[in-house]
Amino acid sequence: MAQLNRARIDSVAEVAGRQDPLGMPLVVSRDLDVTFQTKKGRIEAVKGLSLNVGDGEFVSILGPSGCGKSTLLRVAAGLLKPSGGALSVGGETVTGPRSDVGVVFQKPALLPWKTVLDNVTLPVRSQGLNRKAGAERARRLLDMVGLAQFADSYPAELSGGMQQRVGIVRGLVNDPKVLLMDEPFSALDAMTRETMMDDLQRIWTETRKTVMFITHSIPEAVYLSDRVIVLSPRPARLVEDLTIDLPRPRTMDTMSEARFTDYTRHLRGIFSHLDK
Amino acid sequence: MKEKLTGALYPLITFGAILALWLVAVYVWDVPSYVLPKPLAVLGALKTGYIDGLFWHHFFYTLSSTAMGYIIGCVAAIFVGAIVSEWRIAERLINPLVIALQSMPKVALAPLILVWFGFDQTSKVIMVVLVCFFPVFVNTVVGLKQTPADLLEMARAANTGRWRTFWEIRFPSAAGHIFAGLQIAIVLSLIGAVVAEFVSSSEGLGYLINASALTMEVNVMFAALVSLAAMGVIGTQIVRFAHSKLVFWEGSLAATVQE
Repeated sequence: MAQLNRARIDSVAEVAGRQDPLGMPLVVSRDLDVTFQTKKGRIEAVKGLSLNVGDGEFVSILGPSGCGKSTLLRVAAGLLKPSGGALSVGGETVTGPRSDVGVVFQKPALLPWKTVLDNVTLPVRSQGLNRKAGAERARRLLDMVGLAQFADSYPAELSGGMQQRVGIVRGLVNDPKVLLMDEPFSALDAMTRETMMDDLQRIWTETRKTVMFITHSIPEAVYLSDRVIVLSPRPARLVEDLTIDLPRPRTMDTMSEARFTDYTRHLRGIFSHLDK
Repeated sequence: MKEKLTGALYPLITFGAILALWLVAVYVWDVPSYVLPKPLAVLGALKTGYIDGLFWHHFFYTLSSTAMGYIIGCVAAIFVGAIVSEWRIAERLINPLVIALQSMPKVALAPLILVWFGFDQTSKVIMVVLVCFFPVFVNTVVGLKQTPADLLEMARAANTGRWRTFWEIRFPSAAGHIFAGLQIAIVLSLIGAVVAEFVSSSEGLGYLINASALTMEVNVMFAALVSLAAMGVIGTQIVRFAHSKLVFWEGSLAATVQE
């Protein structure tokens, strides 16, 4: 049965052009190595990782916890220097944080002493961009996630899901080419998570940003992505690169469709092999 | 409302019990008045002091030494604390001095300060500056070093410069700690002022206590002590109020830190 499902997905994937990203490659990782020096010795977090993310593509990076998927994202964000290979965005090698890359963190990381609007526009101020235009963009984005009336509230007045939406808006405020998301829904309860998945899908449809989405939830990855990349436990290597060919917009009903469950079952199968 | 009533009730019970004990000591056990004055005698001293006006001069002398020293000491401590936490070299240069001075009882420096700065108010202010400085300095450094890592990483990813990171992130996140230091410094600053007045002064509430001890006017000593206590309580309340207004985001946390 499992074999059958796999064959079905493989044929679907081949038609979609399984090895190539859907658009022109925007984020390119070539033979990426990341090692950490700790007290206990060297730890290889990422080894020889090559992957492409196409322009406008939503790609999820899936892997067991502690597999180095966050490390990959930190390299893409310019927060961490690789020890070998290179990662480039739009043809330029990433050497530090840059304005055309937005980051959304696992915790919303909002400043409790700033209003929602001031939190969202921190990247605008930091990069010395036009504040008026930045504030306008911020208000438009807040409106898009349904938080327009909370622009002057403080983070403490917002629920966890609303706070993370503010975090997403902050990641988008400079109109970046790439949005990096590091398990942004993992701290939220199941109900909030589902609404957030819908919201993110809508944001993505409206802005068409390239998204690299780190997660350890298989349904979340399948639901949101054009492609799901599975990494092995440390050191992270590419194990699977699966194109998700499901029509959009996807809804909660999509989750109970046979093709959706085929994808999740297939990925779960890969995971169970990884554990061994 | 009920909260508020019971909140006021318990301190009243405590003070009532103390007053009762005082009355028993004076009227039942006949403790002599040069040891423990009658409550009415203290009230009388307060009345002659503040209504007839003899105390006001001393009160304002101590108040102005304390306030000036407090402001100078706290501002300097926050400034130096910020420099130390921003530059490692400054930390290495200043830390040995701070550790040496911090472990020394500052009041022991009072005679030296008088020798150096004279007998007028300057020496009192400097004494206050000295005792205020350390708790605020230490709290500033600790607070600035405890900026949550996730906020710093977020700032770095957003390309936030050092100056902006300090003003928009590190300093506000240290504000709660700094206020805890300011709270401690209020009490210490009064101690500093009074000790400096004890050592040598012809003005101030510390002088008044000293002078009344020589003439055995215990009721005046009590009246001066009550004045100092009032000053301390009011100062603490002002800092507490500023804390809750300025560091509004800590909310209930701010209240628990102070209690």
